[in-house]
Amino acid sequence: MYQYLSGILTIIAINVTAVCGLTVLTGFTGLFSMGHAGFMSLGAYASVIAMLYWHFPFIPAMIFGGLAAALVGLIVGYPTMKGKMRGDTFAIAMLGFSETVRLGLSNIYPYINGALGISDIPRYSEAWVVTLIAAFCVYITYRYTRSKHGRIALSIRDEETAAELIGVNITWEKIKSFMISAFFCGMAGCMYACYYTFITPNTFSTTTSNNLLAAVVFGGMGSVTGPTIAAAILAMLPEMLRFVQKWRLVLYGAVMILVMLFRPEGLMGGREFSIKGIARWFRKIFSKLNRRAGEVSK
Amino acid sequence: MTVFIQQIITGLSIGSIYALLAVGYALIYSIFNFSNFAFGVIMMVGTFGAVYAINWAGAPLPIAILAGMLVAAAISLVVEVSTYRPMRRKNAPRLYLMIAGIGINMFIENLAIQTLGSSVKPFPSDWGREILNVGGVSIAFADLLSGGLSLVMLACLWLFIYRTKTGLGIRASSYDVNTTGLMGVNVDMVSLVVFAISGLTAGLSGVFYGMKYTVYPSMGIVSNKAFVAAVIGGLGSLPGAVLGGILLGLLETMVSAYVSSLLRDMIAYLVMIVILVFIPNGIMGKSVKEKL
Amino acid sequence: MSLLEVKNLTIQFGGLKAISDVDLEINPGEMIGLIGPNGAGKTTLFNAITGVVDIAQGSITFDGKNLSKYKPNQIAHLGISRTFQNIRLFSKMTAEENVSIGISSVADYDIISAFLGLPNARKKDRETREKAREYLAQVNLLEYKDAIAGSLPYGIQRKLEIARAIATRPKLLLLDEPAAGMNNEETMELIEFIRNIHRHNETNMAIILIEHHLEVVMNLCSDITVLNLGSVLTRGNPEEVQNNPAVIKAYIGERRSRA
Repeated sequence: MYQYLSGILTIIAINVTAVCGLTVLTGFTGLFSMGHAGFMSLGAYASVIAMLYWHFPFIPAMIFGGLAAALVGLIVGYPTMKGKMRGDTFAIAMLGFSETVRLGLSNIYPYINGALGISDIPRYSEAWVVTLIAAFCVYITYRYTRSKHGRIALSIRDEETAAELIGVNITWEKIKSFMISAFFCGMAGCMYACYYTFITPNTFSTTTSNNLLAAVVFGGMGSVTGPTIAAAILAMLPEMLRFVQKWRLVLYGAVMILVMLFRPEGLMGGREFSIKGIARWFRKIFSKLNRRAGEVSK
Repeated sequence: MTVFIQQIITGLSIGSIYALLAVGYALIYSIFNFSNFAFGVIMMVGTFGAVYAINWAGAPLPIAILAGMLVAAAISLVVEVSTYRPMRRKNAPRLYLMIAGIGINMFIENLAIQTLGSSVKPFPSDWGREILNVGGVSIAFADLLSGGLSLVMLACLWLFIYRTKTGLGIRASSYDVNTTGLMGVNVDMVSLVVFAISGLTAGLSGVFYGMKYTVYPSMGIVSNKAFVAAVIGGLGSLPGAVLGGILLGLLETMVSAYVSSLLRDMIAYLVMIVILVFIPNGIMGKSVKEKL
Repeated sequence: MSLLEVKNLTIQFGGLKAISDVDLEINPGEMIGLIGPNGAGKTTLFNAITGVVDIAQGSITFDGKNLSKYKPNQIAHLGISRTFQNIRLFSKMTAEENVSIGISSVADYDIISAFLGLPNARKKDRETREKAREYLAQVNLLEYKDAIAGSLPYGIQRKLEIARAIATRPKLLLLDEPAAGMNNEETMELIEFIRNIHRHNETNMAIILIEHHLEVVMNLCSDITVLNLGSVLTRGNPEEVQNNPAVIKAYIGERRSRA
């Protein structure tokens, strides 16, 4: 039982960490990526190499993985953002990027065994450690989005042209968000590798990218706590319900459509989860009930 | 030399499938300015339509192809009417339409996996696998048919868009959907026609792809190639989509033949990224400046 | 020396000349009007000044610098700010946040401080917030500081957009049809509002005003330039412009072609 719970907790933590990154990019900068699994993969491989060949301990290896992913983010991000690529073209380019990473890793044999992948990775991802890391990531992401940097990113999402004409260097701000998202995904990749103890190039697939995106969308763009909660729920459900395991992706797809149709602002609608917010919500419901009761008594 | 010609022909035949797919995708993009990421499953459902037309109804191949196209068109219309149209009415940002498209893709693809099984099936007609030998160059019937029919389809599409009144409405809409609506073009009608055509092309190319390779619920992933082709050619440009598709087909065949088939897809994606870095609007795309 | 000098400016879209051979000059602290029928190239001129469209021929010099070498965001930092025909506020952000992006469009502390919420970051944020409130108070919008910009009434949004533009402390402010879609009362209020910000600012700000409501321009500007079909038709004071037969013809001609 303990093992079962700690397993679920670990998976939630990994998912939440990666989603933190995508929140900054999609939820706050308005760039929509279909390929962040590529960064998870790169982070996982980089940190595993650091651990196995250079004997890095867990945390430094994880940060190394994040930095490696962020560096690739810079290399990919600079030309794409500079060319003002956005919207659909960017999403498709990112799809191409993650496929390139996947197929590229499958064809490199020294150190990483090509398509066979790497096994016997030390199992460093203890539930409590990764949970702490994930919690820390959520906190710093929240702080970041509330900072000047985050507000500038948000201004690009809301009205890119106006932001540029008011002095925002949109190329650089986008690259920044992109690198941050790559960094978090890279760390999550390392945590993943150190939980399952083996990785292959196919470990992180388009489905992974879609799941990350789903969490950001369900949670609400422009919110940090919303996607965090959504990521936790999405990671938890298939582990807890066998039925859902099988139909999980069907369900995700359906919910994604329904959310976009009826509540495109997501769970939190750009707001943050807080005790005050809950109190406000309850008050609203009570006042509605009161009003209705008043109408009935009339 | 014959080997090289053989490769060119193979490249052209797969390229024409990509071109057809890319056109179906680019058509919607050029008018409504968003990516229909549900395109892959539309193609997949169409292909299965053709497969079941043969397996259950014993339809001959031409009827099955037609059935596949119609099924794809039908599902394309369902997607438009049930999801995209209500969202456009609410002036939803493009991002939301794209996410909804991904949702549709996930939903239908995984529904198909759960109900039909994820296994790979051969297309139930051997006709396509028969080989024609011309001066040492062997050409599969499927290649001939797909190349030929794709060209016919593209020609029909061209005639329809450039030579008919409905086509004029479509072209006008591609400049400015809102204004065209005000000018008395029935935008809802245009959208139905456009999504139906897009579905027809998806169905046709799906059937050819199935005949050439295999049929499976996640075959919609091939539509990624259509996105790549359309992006290479220039998003929103129909001639660009055709060009991009054919170039992509040739490139892939050449890479598999002379470099390594393992690197085929990777090089396709890499070429796309490189092209985008140097020509961000693709080969025939126009630079779209936002109106201030 | 003049603040902005537009010389022989020509702008092409494909083969079409949107603007041909236009000259324009404005001195620090001046307010000039730019009028003309639809499609005369007024907004295109603004787009050229702010670096959004490419210049085919001619030059734009601002404060002694040739603007063609600068990117739009750099031009903003040189001291040119603008509003838009269709309001372009950061609609999901509060009024205060809108203005604070104007105050500092580049983060003034590093990423690590932002992530960890270090004291220096919090202090800088507090300062920006206070300044933003000052600006809002200046334009009498303080009561809306926590309102989401997109949900504000139309007239307030217009004012907020202007407030955001002047928060960058520009030397030149370009207003693109600020009174569009307003009724008479709102328009009169807006005229006072613009006059007010023109009189009370720290940078001796110059203003170029595009407006369809002639009474707004006549009321505010002593110097008016009339554009028609991409070139300057005439310029002069309100009276001269109003009585110029060519101007009347351009406007009436437009009206006839519309009907």
